[in-house]
Amino acid sequence: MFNIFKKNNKKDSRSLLKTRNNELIVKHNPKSPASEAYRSIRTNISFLSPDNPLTKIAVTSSGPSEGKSLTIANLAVSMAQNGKKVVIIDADMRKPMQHKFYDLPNFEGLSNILTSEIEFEDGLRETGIDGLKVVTTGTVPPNPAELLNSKRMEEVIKKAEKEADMVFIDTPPVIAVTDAAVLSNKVDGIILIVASHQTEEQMMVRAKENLDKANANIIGTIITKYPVSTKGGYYNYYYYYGNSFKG
Amino acid sequence: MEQFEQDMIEIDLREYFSIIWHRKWFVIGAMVIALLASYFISINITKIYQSSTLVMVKEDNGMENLFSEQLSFGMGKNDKVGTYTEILQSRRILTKVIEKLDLRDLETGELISIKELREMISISGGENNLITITVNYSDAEMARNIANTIVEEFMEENREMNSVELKGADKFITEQLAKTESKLIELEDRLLNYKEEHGVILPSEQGKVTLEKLTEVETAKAKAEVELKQSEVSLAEVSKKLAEEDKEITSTKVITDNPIVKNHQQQLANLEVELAGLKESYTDKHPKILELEKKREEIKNRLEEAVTEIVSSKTKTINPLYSSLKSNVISLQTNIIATASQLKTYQAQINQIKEELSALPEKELALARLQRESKVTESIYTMLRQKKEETQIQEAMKTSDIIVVDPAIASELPIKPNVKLNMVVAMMLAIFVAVGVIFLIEYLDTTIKDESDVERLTGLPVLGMTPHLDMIDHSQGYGRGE
Repeated sequence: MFNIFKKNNKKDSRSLLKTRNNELIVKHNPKSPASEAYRSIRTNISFLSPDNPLTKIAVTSSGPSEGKSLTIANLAVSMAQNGKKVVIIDADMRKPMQHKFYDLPNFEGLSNILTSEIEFEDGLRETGIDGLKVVTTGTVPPNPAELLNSKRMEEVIKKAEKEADMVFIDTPPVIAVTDAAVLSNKVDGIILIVASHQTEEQMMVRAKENLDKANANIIGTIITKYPVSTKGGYYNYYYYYGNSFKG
Repeated sequence: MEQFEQDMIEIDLREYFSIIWHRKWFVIGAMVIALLASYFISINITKIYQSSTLVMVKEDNGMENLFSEQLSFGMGKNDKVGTYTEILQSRRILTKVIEKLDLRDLETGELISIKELREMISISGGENNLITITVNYSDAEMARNIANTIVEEFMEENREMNSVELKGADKFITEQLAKTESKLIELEDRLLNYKEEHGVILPSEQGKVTLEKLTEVETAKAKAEVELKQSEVSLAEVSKKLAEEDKEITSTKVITDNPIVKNHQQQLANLEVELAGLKESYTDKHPKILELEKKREEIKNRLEEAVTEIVSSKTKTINPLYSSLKSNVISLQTNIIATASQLKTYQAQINQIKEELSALPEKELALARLQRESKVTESIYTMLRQKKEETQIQEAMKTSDIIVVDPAIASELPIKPNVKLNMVVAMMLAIFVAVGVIFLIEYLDTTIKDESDVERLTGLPVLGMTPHLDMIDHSQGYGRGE
């Protein structure tokens, strides 16, 4: 709230844009230090439990606009590039986002599958990236939490699991609505996104409490929006290589 | 363990630096604003000019000074500079300065108060008998004038105080001179008339001698009387001046009643008688007379010492400003006592001679009396003329005992405001405040910064950190990837 010199409003104006394809850093700038950061996270996730690999991962955050969707998209691209088959399910029916990364329409999607309007296979779309498919939110329903808590949702996740080596589920913020908590029981683990210099300490603590109450398996956190010098060089690497996984 | 702590400190310092570095524009902005603000404020506020003058206090080396130094254990000199320093900023002097220079408040147009003037000046007297008078004023010329006028007024005051006894004497002599002159004219007329009326009468040889002697003694007496009177008038004037300054002085009666003084006085009277007796038989250059005169001087000196002691012990404070007045008191008192004893002797002699004269014939006696009186008056007149001349010379010689070493000059550059200094101070202040504000913001900012915050608050592992995409140059690569 005291970030005097940061252009916060830039973020909001960008979210109004139809396409956010250019934000898939891993696809467009594979050599960028940022891409390297996503690859590092990919490696850390795969090392979490080598014997019993995590295949269904939900991603949430304490508040809005902390970078959930972007992180999922880039992580997914990174894994797809590594030869894995990945499916992203956009379960954030409050603020649908994933379709924007791949320039996809959002007329039909998860909500339509859950209400049996269409089949799962019809909702699963190609993204133009080998090995990466996505289920967009579809028509925004009035009761997302109930839809997500349904048996149909479990079936959708199972079907997605069959299609891919890794399933990512994008969810709304955990403090605002119960959607994420509801979904956390249907996946192997949940990742909490924390935006550096944005997430309040107390919000993060409450987010963790909410997830703990739902008996969620929090596998870890990812810190986004970490400020770095634009000049690059040593200082950059110091931060997001030197501090890689410590779990 | 030590190595670990050192790492921690290093990281801490780096963090502090990066915190400030991230907000460097805030610091620079604050500096620029402070510089501009201090510059414009500095050039717009009233300029103050400074002028200073240096004066030296003369040391007086009279007998009085010896005594005061003895009594105050050598602190007399500094005391004098200290007192002058105080007097320089006294109401007495400053009121005159304000009136003379017509110092007015720029807003109200009224004469400024003494307090205001006193705030503008600073007077410091150090060792070496030097006093510096420094004036800060919004006008360079006026600052110079104030400094110089303070010194002038003080010198005036000082001079007046030093020559106060001459003033009284001068007045007295002028009066006496006029009186004596008319008396002389009258006597000469009468003598002429008498001679016309009674024809020329030649006094006898014996009468002539007696008459001459009488004339001589009466002249001496008259001179002594004038001396006494002059001393008394001067003493009165000095006493008045001292009383003005609330200083008590010892009265003549106390001094005359002192046994030592009485003794000296008696001796002096005896000597005078003896001297008068001898003078009848010998000339003025006779060794015996010279010896007696020497003795008389000696007794006079001793008398003066005695008086000094009394005056010094009775006068309450040893204020250097009044030291000259005090030395005047001493010499005047001594003079009065000595002359009084002289007078007594002369009176006795006169009575004796008059008896001798009464044996002379009537007409001769009357003529002799007239001649005598006319002669006496003439010599008194001559003496008074001489005295007047002397007093005038003395008065002209009396000066203030301070000398202006460096008169004040008008300075071209104001001493206040010091634009450069103000700007430097403002800049430093801005940097301090800006850094303070940055750290305050950082302290109040309760958002999560990095993994240490996450681990501290939740204990959850951090899988990784992604950079703020707006802040990264994606073209810079590590050389990996596809």
